Amino acid sequence: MQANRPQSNRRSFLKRVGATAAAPWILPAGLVCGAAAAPSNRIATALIGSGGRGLQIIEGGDKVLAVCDVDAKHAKSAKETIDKRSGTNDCRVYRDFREVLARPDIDAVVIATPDHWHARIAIEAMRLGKAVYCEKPMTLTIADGQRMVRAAHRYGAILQVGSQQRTDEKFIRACEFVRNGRIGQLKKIRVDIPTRAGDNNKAWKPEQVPADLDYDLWLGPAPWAPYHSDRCHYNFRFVSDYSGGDVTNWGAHQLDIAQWGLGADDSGPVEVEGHGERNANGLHDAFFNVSVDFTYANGVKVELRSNGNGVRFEGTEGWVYVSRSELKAEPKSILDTVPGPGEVRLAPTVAAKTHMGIWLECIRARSPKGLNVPVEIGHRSATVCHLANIAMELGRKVKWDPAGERFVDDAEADRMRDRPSRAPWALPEC
Amino acid sequence: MHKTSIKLALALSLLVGLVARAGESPDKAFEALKTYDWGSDRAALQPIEAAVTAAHGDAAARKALEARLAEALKTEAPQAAKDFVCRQLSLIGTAECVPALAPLLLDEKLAHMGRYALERIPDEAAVQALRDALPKAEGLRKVGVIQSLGVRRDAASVAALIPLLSDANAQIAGAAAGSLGAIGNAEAAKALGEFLTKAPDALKLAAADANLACAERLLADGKKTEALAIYKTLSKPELPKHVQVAAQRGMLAAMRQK
Repeated sequence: MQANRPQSNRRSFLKRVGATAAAPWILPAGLVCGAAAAPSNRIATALIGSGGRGLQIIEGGDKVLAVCDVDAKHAKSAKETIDKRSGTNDCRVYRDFREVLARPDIDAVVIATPDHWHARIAIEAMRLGKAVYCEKPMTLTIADGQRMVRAAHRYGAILQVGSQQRTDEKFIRACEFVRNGRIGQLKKIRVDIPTRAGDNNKAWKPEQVPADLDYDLWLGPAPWAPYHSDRCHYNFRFVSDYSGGDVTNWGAHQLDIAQWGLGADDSGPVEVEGHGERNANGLHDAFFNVSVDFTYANGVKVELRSNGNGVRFEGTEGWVYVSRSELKAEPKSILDTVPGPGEVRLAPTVAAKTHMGIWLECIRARSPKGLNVPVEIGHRSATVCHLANIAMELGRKVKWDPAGERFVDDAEADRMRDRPSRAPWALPEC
Repeated sequence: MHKTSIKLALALSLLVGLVARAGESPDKAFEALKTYDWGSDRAALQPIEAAVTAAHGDAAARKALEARLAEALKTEAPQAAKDFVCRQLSLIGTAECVPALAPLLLDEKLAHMGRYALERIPDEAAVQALRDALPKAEGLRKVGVIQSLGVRRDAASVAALIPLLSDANAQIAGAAAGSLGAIGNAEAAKALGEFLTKAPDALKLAAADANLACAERLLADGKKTEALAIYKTLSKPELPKHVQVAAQRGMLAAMRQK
C-alpha cells in the first residue's frame, strides 16, 4: 500500500493542477477588475518600439495604454496617433521598457524595436506574466531564439511572431497544396527576396547624439559604438550588430513559408552553403545579393536568391508559386482543389481573421493553441535565416543538426550561434 | 539564358574577388589597424577578416593570426581597432590569446568586447580569466563578468557567486541570481532557495525566475527530486500567480519524466 502512495499522489496532483497549469497565467486586466463586459474584454496593450512598423501593427491592436520608445520624438508622435485613434488621452509615454512592463494593468506588449532588442524585452515581459507579439525576425541570434522558447515554455506565454503571411489565404493555400501532394513529391523550393545594400557605404564620422534619443538604451545588448544616424531607426537593419539585413528581414517571411510548405516547422536544413556581397566600407555591412542553398534531410533543396519576392515550390508533378500579390500553379487545376478529409489544413483555427486578431483571441482564451506563428516556429524560421548569414560569413558549407540545434563537428560555426551581450542585458538563465 | 550567363559571371567575379582578398597578405591591414578608428576605411581591415575565414582547418595559420591579433591588443591602438580584434578573436581565439584579452575585462571601454571574445572561446583558460576578474571588476563590468560565467554555466564559480546575492547593487545581485540559475547545480539551488525568501522587492521576480531556471537545469540533469522541491516552493500562494502556474507546469514536466 505504501509503495502506491506516491503514484496516487502524482495522479491526484496531475488532475488537480493539470487544468490550471496547462493554461498560461494571463487574464486581461479588465477582467480582473471586473469592469463591464465588452470593454473589459479588450486587451490592455503596450507598444514598445514606436517607429513606422510599430504604429502599423498596433493599428490592429486593442486598448493601447502605453507607448515606449528610446526616441522621445517617436514616442510623442505615436501617442498622438494612438490617442487620436482611440478618441481618448489614455496612452502614456515611456522611454524605458522596464517601466512599462512593471505596470500590472498592462496585459500584453507589442515589440517592434530593432531586432537586437527583441529577445530581451520579450523574455522580461514573459517573466512578468504578459503576452507578447514580437515583430519578425524574432531574433538576432540562434541562441536568443532558444532562450525565448525556454522562457515561453517556462511561463506558458502566449507569444505570436509577426510573420503575418501565415494569416494570408494565398500562402495558406499554397502550402496546403504542397503539403497535400498536389505537385507530387516536393523537390525544390526557390525563395526570392529583395536584398538591399544600405546607403552608408563610405567612411563616416561619429555624430552628436540627438537630445531626444537615449542612445545607450538604444544600443542595449549590442556592442558600444559612437552614434550615427545611419545606425538607428529604419537603417538598423543594414548593420549586422543589430540585424541580419534583408536575409532576416525578408527571410523571416519567405523562408518561413518554405519551412511551412516543407512541414519543417520543428526542424531545419542539414546543410547550408552560399555567398553574398557586403559593402566593403561604411556602417551598413549586412549581406545583399545573396545566393544560398539549403539542403533538408529529405533531400529537398531550398534556393535563396536576391531576385523578386516570392516562393516557388517545384514537385515531380507540377509547381506552385506564391507571393503577396499572386498564387499560381501548374497544372492550373491545382488551384481548384481544397484539402480533403484527413489532409493537412493550415488555416487559422480561431475565428479572428488578422494576425494580431489571432493573438488577441488567444490571449482572451488564455491558450496559445490557436497561434499560427508561436515562438517555436518564429525561432525555427529565424534560425534558417541566421544559418544563411553564418554560412556566408564563414564562406564555406556548414552542416547543421536541427534536432540538437548545433553545427556538426564545427566548433567555429558553433561560436556564432550566440553573441555575448553588453551588461546588464545578457540572459544566462534562459 | 543570357540572364543566367550574367548571373554566373557575377558569381564567379565575386568568388574570384573573395579568393583574391583571402590570398592578400594581411600585413598592410595590420599596419592600418594601428590607427583604425570609428568610421575609418573598413575595407583596409578586410584582408584580416579574409585571413580569419581562410584559416579554417589550418591550425598553423590560425595560430599565427591569433598571435598577431593578440599582440595588437597590447598596443595603443584606438578602441575601434581593439573592438575589431576582439571580434576576430571571438571566432578563432584559443587559450593562447587569453592573457591579452583578460585585462580588457577591467577596462571601462573594452570590458564588453573582452567578454565578447572570452565568452565564445571554448577553452577553460577563457573561463578562468572570467573567474579571476570577478573579485576585481566593479559596477557594470562586474555584472558582465557574472553574466558571462552564467552563460558558460561555470560550476566552479558558484561559491564566488553566492555572496553576491547579498550585494547592495541590485544589478549585481540580480545577475548573480541569474547565473546561479543557469548553472543550476545543488549548491546553486540551495542558495537560490534562500535568496527567494530574502530578496528585496525589486529582485523577487528575478529570484523566482532564477529558481525556475535552476529547477529546469536540475531536471535536465536527471535530478527530479531536487527540481520538484524547488517547484513546490514556488507554488506557494504568496508568490505571483504566473510564477505559481510556471511552477505547476514545471511539476507536471517533472512528473512526466521517467
